[in-house]
Amino acid sequence: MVRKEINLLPVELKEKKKTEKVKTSLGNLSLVFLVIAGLVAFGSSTVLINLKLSGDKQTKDILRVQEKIKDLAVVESEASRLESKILSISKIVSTKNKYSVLLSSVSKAAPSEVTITSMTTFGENKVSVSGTVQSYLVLSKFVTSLMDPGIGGKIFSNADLTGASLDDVSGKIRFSMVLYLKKDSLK
Amino acid sequence: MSLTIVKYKEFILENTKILIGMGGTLLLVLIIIYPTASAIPAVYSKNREQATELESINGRLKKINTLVSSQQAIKSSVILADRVLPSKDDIPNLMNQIQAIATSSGVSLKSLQFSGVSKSDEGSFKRVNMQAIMDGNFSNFLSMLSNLESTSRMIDVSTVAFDSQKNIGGLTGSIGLTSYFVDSDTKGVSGSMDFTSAAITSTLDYIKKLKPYEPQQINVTVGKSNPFE
Repeated sequence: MVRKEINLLPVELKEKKKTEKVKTSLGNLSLVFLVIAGLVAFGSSTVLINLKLSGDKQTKDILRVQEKIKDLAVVESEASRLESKILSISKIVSTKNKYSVLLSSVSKAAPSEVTITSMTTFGENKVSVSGTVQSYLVLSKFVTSLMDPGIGGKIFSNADLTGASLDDVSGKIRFSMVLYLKKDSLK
Repeated sequence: MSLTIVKYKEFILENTKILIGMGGTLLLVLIIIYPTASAIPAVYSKNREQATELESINGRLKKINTLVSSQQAIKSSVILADRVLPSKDDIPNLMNQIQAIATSSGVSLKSLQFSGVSKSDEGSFKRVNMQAIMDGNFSNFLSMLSNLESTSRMIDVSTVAFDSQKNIGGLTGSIGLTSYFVDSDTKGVSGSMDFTSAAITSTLDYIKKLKPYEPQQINVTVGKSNPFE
């Protein structure tokens, strides 16, 4: 058998109780919010204060280090000047050509019967050479030794004979040629 | 009117907890949480910037401290570097040096023309361009070129032209020369300031080997009432 519960409380009282319950819950909830807000406020304030304190400490540290650097500025500027000069020097040295190597190589490659009358560098890595020689055979030997990897070939990549003619008066052969220097061979 | 006040009072008394809770929360949010929370990112990023700056200047100080320990070596290297790459064109000394090299090589310096100063492409140094006409024999010129390559004030040979027909029994040489200097107009090259790096030590070793040509000291009295006489 089902028992029916009979509630004799009036409807208004029931509504009032319900409202009070809701108010109590809301009151508790708002107090919880207040506590949470208090904790968040405390936390954020602490974080901000700590950040500001560490910022102040860093500012002081920066000033202290800058002061120390200022005292040693002379050493730093000397070192910086030296470094700048050394880097510039190394740049200059890397592009420096040793023309004594050119003279030595031509000298080593030239047979005794060859007389160079003029030698001029021109353009990029080119040398014009003209002179006289006793015979075509000696001229051929000169060109060969200019290209010999053990003699002139160390610095020359090519030798173009641009002219060779017999001088009837002296009986010698006048020649002119263009020598091409290998890249960076005079460094 | 009084009825409204009574009603308000009643409402306040009935909802004290809610009002305190919500009101307090709102006040905390408005007065503390919002201002602090909005300030934190800015202070944090400022601190990070400062930390980076501090780290950088600490590194700089550390480097300077290592430089202090080798201060003497730096000073002597500066003297050497100044000799190789002076801080002004110093043409009179340059002329003296070329003359000294020519004399010691057995070459006769016929003329020395200055054809201007030019800046390097990256602007870290300047060039003094010259053209020298000299007389001598082959071995003299070979020696001259070798000496120019190893002189303490850097002099670079840019072009060479030799002619044996103009000088009977010898050679006439026309040599394009370039010397270098840095001045206030040139911008310095900066690096890591590591004086133990191979690039720097090899260049320092190189400049230590260069031969100084001391200019001749001539005791000539100066001052002439009519220099055209």
